[in-house]
Amino acid sequence: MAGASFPTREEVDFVVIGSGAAGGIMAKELSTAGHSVVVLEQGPHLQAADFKHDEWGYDHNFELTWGGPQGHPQTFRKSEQDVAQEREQVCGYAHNVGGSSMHFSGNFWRFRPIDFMEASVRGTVAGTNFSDWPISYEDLEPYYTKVDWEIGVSGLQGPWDPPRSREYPCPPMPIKGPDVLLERAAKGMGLNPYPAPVAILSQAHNGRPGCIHCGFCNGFGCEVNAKSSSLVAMMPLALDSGNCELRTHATVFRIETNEQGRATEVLYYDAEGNEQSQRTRAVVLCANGAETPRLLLLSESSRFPEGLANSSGFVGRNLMFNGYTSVMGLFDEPVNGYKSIPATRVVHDFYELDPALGFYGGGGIDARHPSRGTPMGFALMSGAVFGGPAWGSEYKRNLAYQFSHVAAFDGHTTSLPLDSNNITLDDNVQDKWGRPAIRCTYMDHPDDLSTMQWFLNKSTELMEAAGASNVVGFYPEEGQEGNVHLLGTCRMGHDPAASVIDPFHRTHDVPNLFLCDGSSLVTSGRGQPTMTIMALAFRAADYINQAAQRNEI
Amino acid sequence: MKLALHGVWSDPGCIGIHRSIEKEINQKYRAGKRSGSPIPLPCGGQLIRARLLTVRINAIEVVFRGVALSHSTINRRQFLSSTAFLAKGSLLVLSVPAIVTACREASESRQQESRFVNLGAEEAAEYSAIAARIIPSDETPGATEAGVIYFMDNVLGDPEREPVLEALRDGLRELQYQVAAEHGLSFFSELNAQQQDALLSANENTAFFNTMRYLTIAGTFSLPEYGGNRNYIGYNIIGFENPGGWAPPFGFYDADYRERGE
Repeated sequence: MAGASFPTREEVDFVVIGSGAAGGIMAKELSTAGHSVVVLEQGPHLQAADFKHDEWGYDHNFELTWGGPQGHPQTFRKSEQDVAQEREQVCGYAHNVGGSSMHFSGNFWRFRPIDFMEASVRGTVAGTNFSDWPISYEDLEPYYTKVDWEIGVSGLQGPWDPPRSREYPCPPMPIKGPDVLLERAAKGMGLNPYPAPVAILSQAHNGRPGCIHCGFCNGFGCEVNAKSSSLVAMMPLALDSGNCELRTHATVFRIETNEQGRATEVLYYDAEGNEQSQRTRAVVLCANGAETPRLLLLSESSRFPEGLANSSGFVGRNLMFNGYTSVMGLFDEPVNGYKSIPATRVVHDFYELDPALGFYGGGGIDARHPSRGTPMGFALMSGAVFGGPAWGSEYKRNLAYQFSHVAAFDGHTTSLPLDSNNITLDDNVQDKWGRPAIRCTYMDHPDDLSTMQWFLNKSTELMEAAGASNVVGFYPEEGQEGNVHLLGTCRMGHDPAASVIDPFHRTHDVPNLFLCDGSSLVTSGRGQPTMTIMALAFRAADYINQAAQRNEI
Repeated sequence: MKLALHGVWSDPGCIGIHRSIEKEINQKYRAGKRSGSPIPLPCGGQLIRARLLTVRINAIEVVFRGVALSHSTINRRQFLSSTAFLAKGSLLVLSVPAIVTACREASESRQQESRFVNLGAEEAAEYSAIAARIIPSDETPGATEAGVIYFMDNVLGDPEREPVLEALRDGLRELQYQVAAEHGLSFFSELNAQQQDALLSANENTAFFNTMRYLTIAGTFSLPEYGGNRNYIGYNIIGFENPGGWAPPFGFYDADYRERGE
């Protein structure tokens, strides 16, 4: 897995910026097709042996996701009228080869046919940019299947699935306690819970082993390579192709264009902070829904005064986080939700809420441990969640009981695309390189909040039906102030005036610049976007390879 | 009458003066209490951040030099956010190289009979005593056995956390002031458990207490390499076995799932 080595002053075929969910796939698909590829990744190349059950390091010191202390501050405000305040983390993502696919929960719900045409079926929502996608589920289905098999997804084919052309490569993960409770309650209410499709291997696949159920999953890197990240499923193949060079600790600060308006080189800081520049025939930007628009805005020039590929003004706009709710309860016997993976069952009966409710929305409900199974996280929240003292002997006794006897039913919901929710460059705060910090402006649409309230109520009903005591729940009633789903900020579309990329991820403005990551999404789906980001990446790579063959890049 | 206190209360050189002031204050305080008129605490119960602070308590003028303590030294919301439900943000952050150094030093210090690298022995005893009330040693081991104070010594040594340590020291001084005012003693650790609990309850909503709670819990449940959670005591007290991996069934409710044909 040594990889190739290319001189910076000679053109390579592609520079791929970012090695996450989409970037890893791009690297593999383009390099194995014979193209020379340089991957620029701002984080290190941590691998299985580097990952620990280090809750303090990862959750509290941001060692995987970085933040202010590592020189990457971000700012947040609810509206343009507010002055954005510096935060350690607003738009969360991992700085590492594999990006956030390295530490995600692995919930791999496909989008459904309705997701791609919801605006015309359901009707638009006034005051929003809610639109149909320029592609359909049928366009993407072959690539969802490619994700299933090449990345590695465990699940059970059934009537609950959107149409699929091939069964899952791995059977579903063994059910956990919280999921048994959810499933029994849901069935009792006439609903249709089913095994959650996850990007975690239930058995050996593609040379990787099955999950050992260690429990430190969401937020942690996998120590046995059972989690199907691009770190373990794609990058090794890219490097083995002999056509791909991976440069880590490479922080891109500008994409340079020539007089013809074509991208020519990518400027970055290397690990030592020295400026470097890689010449290239084409650029594939996969830096995530916050960093991709930031880099385009940073790459403005006299030809592209509003930022690269931003003639539409849509770069950075329509940021969607997905909503979430959580309802927790205590059970009489040990649930032990802290073991194994985050979720093994999902209820999708409320994928589309009844329009008669008067608001747009939908989502899914799954069962989890409320702190992702982490002891420290649960100990910090325990007193606050279930009442009783927050310290002392009684707290300690409660904590010991609750940690193993708790279950959470979580809602994952839609977000509407709004002009007012966006990524821009901060005027006041800079990162360690002197680049303007990511400034996030976000306030959930009233329909998004109503949807969360609805899911909170439904999850509460389920929790009570499951026989829980001490049922408590919450959702961000005053609006979210950060998330790890960074969607919609360079949306795809046919209309160059209302989108940034075409249906094959080529920017409308720069013919040899392609974008693929969460920013490409037109709508938010129901709260689990990575499967779709990966399917889009396989599809875009297919197109780029074909276009390259036709000499059309 | 005028007394002067220089530096911080926990500096060994200040102890003598410190105690003499407290004795005076407490005499007046108790006298005030007896007469039914509460003694006016400095600035209405809060000292103001200042390099030099003079307060008058009845006839005694007390001059504090150095950084005085205040609730407003650190934004309380920021402090609370570190313990807030599901909150990711916290003041307590650490860079990787710093933690490696700090870990090594903390580990070396433990080998040298539990000397502290970043904390003074006296403040360490106080933080230890507070941690021991937050996660007490009762039917199961607590923060003391888990070595939480070594975790604190470790993570508070990060230069980035200097403001946090400073704020904690301010908070400790304020707590000790209350110890003196209410019990006529100098140190929190001199109180009995009941007195300690009462005092901490009265301080439950302070940034100081919430940070102590955060650090105590973090020190109990972090990996032992950070100094706390010795022999996985923290994991043990909540029944978290930590074998590295599990196999189904995982708990009571999924145990008969297959047999029931679900």
